Amino acid sequence: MTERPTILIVDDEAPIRRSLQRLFAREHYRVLEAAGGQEALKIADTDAVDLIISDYVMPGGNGLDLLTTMKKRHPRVVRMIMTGKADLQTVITAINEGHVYRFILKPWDNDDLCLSVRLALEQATLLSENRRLVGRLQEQEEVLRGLAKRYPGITSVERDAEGAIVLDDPDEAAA
Amino acid sequence: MSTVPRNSPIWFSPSISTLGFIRRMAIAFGLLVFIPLLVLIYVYMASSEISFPTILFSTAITSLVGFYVVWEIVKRVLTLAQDVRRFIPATATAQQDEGGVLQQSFSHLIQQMQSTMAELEAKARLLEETERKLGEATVYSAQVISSIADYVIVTDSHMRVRKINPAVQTQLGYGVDELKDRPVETVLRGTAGGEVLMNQEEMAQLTRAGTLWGKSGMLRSRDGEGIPVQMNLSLVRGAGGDLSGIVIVARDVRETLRLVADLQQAKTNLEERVHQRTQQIEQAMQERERAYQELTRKDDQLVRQEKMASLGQLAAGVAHEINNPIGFVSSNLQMLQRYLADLTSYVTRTGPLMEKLCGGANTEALRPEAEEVAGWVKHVELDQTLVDAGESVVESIDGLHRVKKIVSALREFSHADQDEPASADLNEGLESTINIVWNELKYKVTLHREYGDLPKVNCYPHQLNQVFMNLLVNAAHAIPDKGEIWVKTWADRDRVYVDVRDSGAGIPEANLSKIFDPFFTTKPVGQGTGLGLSIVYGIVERHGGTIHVESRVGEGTTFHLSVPLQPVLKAAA
Repeated sequence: MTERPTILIVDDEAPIRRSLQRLFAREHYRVLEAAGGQEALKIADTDAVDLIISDYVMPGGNGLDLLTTMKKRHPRVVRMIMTGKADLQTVITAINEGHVYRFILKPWDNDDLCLSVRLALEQATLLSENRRLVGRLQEQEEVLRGLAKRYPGITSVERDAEGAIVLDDPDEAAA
Repeated sequence: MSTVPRNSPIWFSPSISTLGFIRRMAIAFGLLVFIPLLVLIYVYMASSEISFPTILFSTAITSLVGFYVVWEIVKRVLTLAQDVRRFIPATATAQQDEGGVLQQSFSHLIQQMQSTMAELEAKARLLEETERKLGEATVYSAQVISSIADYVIVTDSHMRVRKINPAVQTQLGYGVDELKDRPVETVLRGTAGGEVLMNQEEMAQLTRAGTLWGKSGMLRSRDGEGIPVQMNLSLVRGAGGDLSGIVIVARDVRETLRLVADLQQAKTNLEERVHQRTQQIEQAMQERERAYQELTRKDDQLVRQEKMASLGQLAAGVAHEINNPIGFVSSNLQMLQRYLADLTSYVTRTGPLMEKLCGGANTEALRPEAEEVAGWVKHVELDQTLVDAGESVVESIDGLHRVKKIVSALREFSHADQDEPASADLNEGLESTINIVWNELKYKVTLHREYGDLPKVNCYPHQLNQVFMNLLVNAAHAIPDKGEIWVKTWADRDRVYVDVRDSGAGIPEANLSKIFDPFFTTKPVGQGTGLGLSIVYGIVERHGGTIHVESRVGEGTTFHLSVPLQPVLKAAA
């Protein structure tokens, strides 16, 4: 990935956004902030976002709803949720419904968080790279198949008993 | 009959006696002179053979006889008139002579006779009527007596049976005349084994009062069966007041006695049962008392549980409230650690440079070293680090202040049980409580505070805080999505008032009277203990305060709370 990944931070508490912003900016990410779900969706619609970290309990709709909507609209954005009030049910719901990559508890550890983000982004990068490569492979196979039609046998190699490559000799064939 | 007008004007009006005398004289003279003269003339004309002296003599005799006759007649008439005058009103005869008087009198007498006749006729009719009625009454009485189911026996003055009613015949089996003139004791005695109907005392009472009521006795049927009766005896007196007999009305009391016996039995049974039940009830009461004591213990337990539950419920909210600031403060501190590392590195790098500079080294010679440091500073964005560090410190201090506030409010609550009476400002209590429950409110509620100037109240401050907490949390729970809560305080000379109003769902009227009852809850099972408001009520009562609720479904609920400034505090639960 040549350009810096973009992280969108969604939380109604400014000090939390600020501290995360300082953390990720120092890790050379591009950081965007939103105070609520609507604002976050607006940003994601207009800007390229790679990863979103959303608070769970927010005025004007909870973070899970936001992430569920995000999954529909921008499925490639990696989703993380953050909360200070976690019971098992909340975690299960978040993972099943929001398909969140990671569930982060407040208070968080900066290093853990950075590691999670990096791994998540790497995984996302690998995924998209993988997708890209699979796509190219398919293209090339198409080309090869076309060639084999026009020149039968061109895509296969013959070997003799010693394993040496046998080249077709047009003269021999003619003789 | 009378043709003389009683009030006709009269030209001459002497006294009645004078008038009568003149009239009598005139009549007498007429009779004396004219009658003999007429006789004389008649005789003379009839026979001239009679000698004159004879005629004269005979005339004289005739006159005398005539006079005497007339005199006698007049005398009698006068006497009659005199007698009659006595019977008629004086006014009617005042101006009339004897003739008028007589005429008047006769007509009067006839009138009187006629009216007397009419009276007599009326009386006769009355008598007839009375006789008829009497007859009817007699028949009626006879019928009544016949139809009386009770036994009626009439005796003469010697206590011998004279009459019996049909009941005696049909029920006791005696013939119509079988008992007649037999002693009444044959059929009726005072007691079962007794010989007489009445003892001396009863006899005396009957004689004195004329009646003897409710005496018990024993009838004897013809077959010898004894029938207990209750009787009323009355004396019958003749026209002269002397005793002519006794009427005895006796009532068969076998049924009554049986009923009384039944009742007696029922009463005994009932007493037995009441006794049993009383014992059962006493036992039940004792059990109840034990159960109540146990319940009281359990109740205390439940109240404590409710406190713990509400505290636990709060803890989750408080955790969120605390975890937010703790989250960014700890993150900031970690960042500050890195900033510090950068700054340390900077000092380490600039330190030797400074020393060399201070030691008088050539600045030009130091340039490459200085440029290297400057390059590093730019690389690590040390200026940004300084800005970030400053922000981090400021925000962290704010965050820690928030935590401190929440923790101290929570501590107040956790100590609510060891509450000591204190002089407290309820506005402060409300504020600190709002801090604790803020997490429950902030996302869905717009809170309006209308605090008035309040004098300090002598109270258990933490307990009142719990009241505020329960009211505020209830208000928040009543709001399904988003709404408003108003907290208003004010005071008058001896009370402080707190209103907590919400724009929530409201309480149905049927539930309004129950909301302060223990264990009443409309929340789903497991979500509310139903003790919150009952605890509120208990605390308010302990302060001698009042709490009441006003609510409309769909519009919201208001709790009105008032506490006296100097309450007589009851011991804490």
